[in-house]
Amino acid sequence: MTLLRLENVGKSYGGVVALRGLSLTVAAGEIVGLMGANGAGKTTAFSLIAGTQRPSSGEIWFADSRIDGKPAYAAARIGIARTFQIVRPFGGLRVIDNLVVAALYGHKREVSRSLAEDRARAILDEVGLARDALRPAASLTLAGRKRLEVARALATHPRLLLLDEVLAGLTATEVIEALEMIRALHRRRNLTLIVIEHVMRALTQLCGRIIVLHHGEKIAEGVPREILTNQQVIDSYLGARSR
Amino acid sequence: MMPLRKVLLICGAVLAVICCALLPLVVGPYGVGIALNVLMWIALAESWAMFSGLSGYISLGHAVFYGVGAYVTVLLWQLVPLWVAIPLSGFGAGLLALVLGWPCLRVRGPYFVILTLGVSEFVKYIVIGSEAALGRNGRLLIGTPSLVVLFEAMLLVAIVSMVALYVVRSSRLGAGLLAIREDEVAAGAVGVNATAVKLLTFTLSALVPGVVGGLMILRSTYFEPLQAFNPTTSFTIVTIAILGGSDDVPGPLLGAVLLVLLSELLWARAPEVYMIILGVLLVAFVLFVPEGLLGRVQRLASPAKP
Repeated sequence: MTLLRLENVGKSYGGVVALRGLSLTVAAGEIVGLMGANGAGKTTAFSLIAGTQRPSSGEIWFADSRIDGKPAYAAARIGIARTFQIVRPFGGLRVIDNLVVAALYGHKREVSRSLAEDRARAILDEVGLARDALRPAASLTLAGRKRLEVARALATHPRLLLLDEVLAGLTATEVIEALEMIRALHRRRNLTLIVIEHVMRALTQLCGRIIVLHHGEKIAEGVPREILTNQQVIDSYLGARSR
Repeated sequence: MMPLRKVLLICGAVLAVICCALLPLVVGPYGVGIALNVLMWIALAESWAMFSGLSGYISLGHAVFYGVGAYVTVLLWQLVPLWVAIPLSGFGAGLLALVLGWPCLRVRGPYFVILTLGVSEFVKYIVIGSEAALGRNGRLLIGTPSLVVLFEAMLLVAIVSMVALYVVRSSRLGAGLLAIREDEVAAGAVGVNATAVKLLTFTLSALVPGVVGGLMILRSTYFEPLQAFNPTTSFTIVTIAILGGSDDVPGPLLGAVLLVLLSELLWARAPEVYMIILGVLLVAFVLFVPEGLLGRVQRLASPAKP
């Protein structure tokens, strides 16, 4: 079953084209990787799907309803959750309260605060932040804040989770732990994931399919093995070799 | 079972309310007048904190809700009984907040602060203009309730205002407001409809100032727009929030008691320099206790974090 479908989606800021005619489909339960050099349009694609920004052209469909142009809160309520590349925790709130908000407002809403806290605790357990539940979110380390970002998105009870570079800036050990966490989440929760990542090894280990963007356009799509050997992809990352 | 601390807190609060209610039996009119003042500022600051304290949107417009409440009561004077007029003052202010909030809440930060101040001045001059057009040069209310009745009514309003802040803070609405205060974009990403949450709370937070304005015009017995819509009301509320803190119920309570008692004391002892001393005190608080008294007490009371 197709969960997400983008048809010819474009976004430009004044004269600058960030995304041009992007079409893609994501089936329920899939993990799809999104890669490309800086400025390729990956985060823009996320922002359009999650309603943080409106597309300039094209259509976005989620579970048979058209969602382009709808605000971010509406996207969250129908089951699209995202993390931010530069983390945006509710720094002044306790870690657990970051999740309580999401559980009270997100896709599957809890009716009471105590039920929301129960959900929050279960998720904090799952992502390994249980011990930090009562600390102010701003006091977490970067790795902790990245985990919180994922945990808060999960607390909305999403169907589709968009992970924007949750591994960036982590140490090698932390990357391995985070990958393990993402895999476990996907297994247990019947989630659909789109993952933006620069860590190539992580993408190839995690994703069944990878989509490559270059200057706002899709230049390749396929299983990781094909993508890694695709000449156009290699050129886009390393610059075209003179032949 | 309720924890012992909560039981003690509730018992203490009930006892304090009873003592307050019996105050007119022990002190004279001067004392009751000061107590009425304290209760008024508690009611105003608690309702202001419900919106501005929780959402981080600093409103300098709450004087307009106070003024409109006063105006509604004056217009309805002797047309309907007071038990109808006073609640209608609250609703009138709420309605105005709904209308003003719609455009004002589109901007953030300093722009919102300035806009609320501007809009409240704008409404003030509309009232001044229409009163002038009607040929009314101030309105006198004769036969208003006694000071003690107004005091007991204000006590009730102050309690309602505190309970309302507590209820909103611990509700879904409160969680949404705090998320908006921390990061509005991230709040949207987890499903918080910021526009609706802010507008609803802005409206709710105007109800109490409307009622307070209605009650206080019965105390002064004379309506004059420049006084009723005086922006100093807004500034004083913010001052109280700075002194006490505005994040939770005890903050505005502490701030209001401190400010009114200090003002009375200074005004009686050193009338020439009392505003200067208050100003210096405010600057000192902004610089050295930016989290307010409540925040400082909480920080000192909580054990040091590793």
